[in-house]
Amino acid sequence: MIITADLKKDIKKFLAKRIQEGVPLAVTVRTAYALADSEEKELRKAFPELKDARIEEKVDESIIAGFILEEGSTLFDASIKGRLKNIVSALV
Amino acid sequence: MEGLGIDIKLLIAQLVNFALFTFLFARFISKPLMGYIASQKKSEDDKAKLLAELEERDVKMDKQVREVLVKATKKAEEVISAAEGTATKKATSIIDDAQTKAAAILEKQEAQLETERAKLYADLKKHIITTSEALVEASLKDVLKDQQKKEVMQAVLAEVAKSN
Repeated sequence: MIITADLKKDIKKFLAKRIQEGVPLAVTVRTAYALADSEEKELRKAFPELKDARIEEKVDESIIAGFILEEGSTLFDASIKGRLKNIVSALV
Repeated sequence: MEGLGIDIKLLIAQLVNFALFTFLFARFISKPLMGYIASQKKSEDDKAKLLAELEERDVKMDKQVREVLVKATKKAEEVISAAEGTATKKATSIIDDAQTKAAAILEKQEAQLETERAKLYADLKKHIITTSEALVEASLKDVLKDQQKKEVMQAVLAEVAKSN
């Protein structure tokens, strides 16, 4: 799974900005299966900005694998389905 | 005379008769007859003259007719030649025009064909890609087990963590 540096930078920058604005972060994480506690911890570790954020987990099997992070209307798509859609967009 | 069988009286009477006849003929018949003959001759001469004139006119007319015919033939040939020239030019112009129009139509048709071919190719490509996407998606959903999904999740998180 390749996640571009620009994408990571953008989502982290966005989350950091929200924290600076003093807005309590409430994100939704869509996964293909229910995350284990250890995986949620790893998620918070991967995104330090989510350390104190409220995370709502939603199981969505249509994303196949990986996860989608949503904060309001902002979306960080690290799913297999998203990757597949990117490939299709590039080909079409 | 009598021995010769000639009757003097009768001879005299005949001579008188002849003289009388000659006098009467000269007096009353010869002149009008001669006049009549002269008038007839004049009439004949006039007729001959008229006939000659008519023949002369006929010859002239004939000549004029031939000249007119020659002129008319020449004129007709000129008209035909000019008409042929005009017709040839017109025909060439029509053919050129038709060729130009045909070329334009052909070019338009080829362009349209090319556009339709490109559209068809694009549609086919899109169809193949979307079908492939659906196939890959369905296959992945079938093939990927929970463990493999977890491994993907670990890989993604590791990838994200790299940027920290």
